[in-house]
Amino acid sequence: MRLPKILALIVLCGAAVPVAAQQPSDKALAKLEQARQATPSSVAANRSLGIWYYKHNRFAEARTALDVARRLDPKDGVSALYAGMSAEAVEDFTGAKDAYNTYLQVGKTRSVRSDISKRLVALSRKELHAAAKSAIANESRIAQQPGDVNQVAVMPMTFSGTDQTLAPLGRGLTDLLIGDLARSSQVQLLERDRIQAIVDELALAKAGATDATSSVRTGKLVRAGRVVQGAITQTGARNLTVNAAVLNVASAQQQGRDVTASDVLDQIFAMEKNIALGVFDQLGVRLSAADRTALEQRPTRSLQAFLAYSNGLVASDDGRYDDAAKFFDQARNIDPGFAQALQRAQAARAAQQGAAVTNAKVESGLRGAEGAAVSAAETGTTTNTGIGSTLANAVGDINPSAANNVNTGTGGSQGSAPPPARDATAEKTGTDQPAQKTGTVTIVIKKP
Amino acid sequence: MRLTRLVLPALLLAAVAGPAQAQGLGGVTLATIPQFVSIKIGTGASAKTVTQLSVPLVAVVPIGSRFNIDVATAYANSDVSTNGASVSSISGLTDTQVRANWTLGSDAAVITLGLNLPTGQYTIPEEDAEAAGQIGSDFLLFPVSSYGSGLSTTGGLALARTLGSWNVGIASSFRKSTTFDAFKASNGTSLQTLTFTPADEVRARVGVDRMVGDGRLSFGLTYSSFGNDEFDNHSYATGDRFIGQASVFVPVSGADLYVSGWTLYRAKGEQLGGVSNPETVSDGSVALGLHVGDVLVEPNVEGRFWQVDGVKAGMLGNVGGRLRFNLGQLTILPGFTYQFGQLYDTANTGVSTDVTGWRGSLMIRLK
Repeated sequence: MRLPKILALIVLCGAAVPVAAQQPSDKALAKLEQARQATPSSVAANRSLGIWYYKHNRFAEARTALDVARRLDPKDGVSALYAGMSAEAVEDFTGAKDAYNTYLQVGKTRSVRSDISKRLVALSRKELHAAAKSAIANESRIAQQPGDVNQVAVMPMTFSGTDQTLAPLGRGLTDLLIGDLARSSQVQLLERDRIQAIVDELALAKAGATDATSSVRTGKLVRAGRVVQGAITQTGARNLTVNAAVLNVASAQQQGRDVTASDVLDQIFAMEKNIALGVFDQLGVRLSAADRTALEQRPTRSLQAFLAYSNGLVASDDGRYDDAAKFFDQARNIDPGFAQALQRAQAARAAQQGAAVTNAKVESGLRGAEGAAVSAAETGTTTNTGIGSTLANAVGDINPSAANNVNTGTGGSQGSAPPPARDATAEKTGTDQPAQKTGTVTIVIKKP
Repeated sequence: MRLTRLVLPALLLAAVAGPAQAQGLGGVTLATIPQFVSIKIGTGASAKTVTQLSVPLVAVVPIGSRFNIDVATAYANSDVSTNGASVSSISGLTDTQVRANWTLGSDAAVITLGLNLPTGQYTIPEEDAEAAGQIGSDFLLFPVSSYGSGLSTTGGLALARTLGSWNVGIASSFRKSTTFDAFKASNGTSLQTLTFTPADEVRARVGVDRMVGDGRLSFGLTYSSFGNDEFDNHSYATGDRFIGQASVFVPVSGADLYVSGWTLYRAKGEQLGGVSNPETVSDGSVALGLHVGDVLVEPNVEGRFWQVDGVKAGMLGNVGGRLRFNLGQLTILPGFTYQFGQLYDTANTGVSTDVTGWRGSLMIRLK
């Protein structure tokens, strides 16, 4: 009988604790809402309210309040930061990037700026996939809007063969082909990452079924006018055949003829150049002599480095940034002149670090006035009690100006402040002493 | 010359605020705080009334997240009258202060550089010296205490960091002043222009503050050390100054309670014709911010005590109130204070003089 009573007491306490814990929080919200109601154009009031909403997972309301704070003071870093985190929480990655970029410009805590820079890299992948999902969700509407004929999407090349270690060459060759086709100003190449996100979402890569129909569908989703699709076929232990074709998205018909290159594996870079020249022909692009010379440039001549690079692309596309960075490093070690591998390694490392940046880490990193603004919001206050005001007081005191009076805010007393500076001439003539007597002040200077 | 003094502050304000306004104001703050003060000393026909109407103009412009410039100047009319008749009066622009602040790190340090431009009224005629002097009282505290102190520059550095639950700020500055024509006085046969060079000043401050519940507690101590003032080639020692400050702000039952106090101590120095005795001015105030709808109502009381060389010289009580509300992008703060107190004869004769007055202010801030 005694045990059930104890258990009942524990259960009651367990139920009571959340209620008790909620009370100060509700009180804080009431204070913040009251403060905003009293001063709707107060940056601090809107910011604090937005932070409070964010911390209680009320992201839509947080964004509303924080957006007001940002409009009132575009240089308020904390508002931008929390607006970014709130937008990210509701998967508005474009809004999140915009807010984070604002924090990078106006935010004052260096470590948080560094964290946010890394996070932005990781956010790009999320943004691409969110855009892809959105495009697929709105496919019927998007398909009605024809893409610009000069917009060209290069689909990821498929690989078929017995040696699956060569399969990543599909991503690598696609990357090279996009780079080469982009050398002409007559066509605009869509980003590989964007195409890959659509393909991933459509699960085409997984199914390995890049056919004309699905390529056209992808082309419509990215609003491309034409699509280049290709395939790599292993025709022997060390032989490859690469095929490519240009499809017109509007008509869903192939434009021109197939482009084919076959050779030994070691000649893969020469094959890619032939494919690029053939695709230019099918796209109706006439290359200048300078374009052709530029086309001869190769980022690497090492097959092993390129294979490592291709593996890095696959890992990066899958969001495995740690693996990606290792593959790109490997490519760079094999061929130290492989500049693209270095760039990709840096991006993958930044994305890896960015993925590890949690909201809690960002928030705990805020220092000075920015940290104090968040602390104030948690307790339901809007007063800036941070180090920034300590510093402002110090500056105002040692270099006084009437401008000090401008920032009198809530709680700023109407009581008189001490005289910021002496009136030297009045002090020396003694005319600053209040007295009932009036009359002309006679200044007598004793001659030495 | 007079036109230059009028135009220069206007140009500076326009130059600072103009481009920012063109960009939609941005983070620019523009403010004006017109105030009228009237203080009557004594009673009856011999009573003296000192009045001042001041209209300061301030522009604060942030340039990037770490740099800001502010410009401040004021127009003021000060008058001393007896029996309703003006006996000494001075009006015009004051000096213009241009200040640039550069923040380093995450609110870790600020380098500040100030310039006092001599746009104010200089070379004060003998008959206006009383009006110009009375407003400089550290006890009565007029909004504009000086019409001009000559061209000077101030450079300083402030540092702040957190130590436990306290924020600690330390700061120091140096002010270099230059010579200017201060008075026109008769030497018996003709008017003589007297030059004045304010002493250079080294100022240091230590301040600490911390959160107390939802409020804030802060203390500050400022020390100013001066060289000698030079008045018409004569050198006069200037007493060093100490200012101690304390304040606490606490939200109480939906209201904001603000209690503050300060003490100014000026050490013994020299003045024309003799010794300038040490003096102390102490002030304490309590204000309560009440949220009434969209308006903040702030009643307040304040007391001030003045001693000269350890002898009671004056007491002043202030009772007033201030409102704060928004009109669009404008923040409006009208305020009114009634003042009453007494001045005492420092020769300990027991003679005292009544002091009564009032001050009204209207702060308008646009951001």
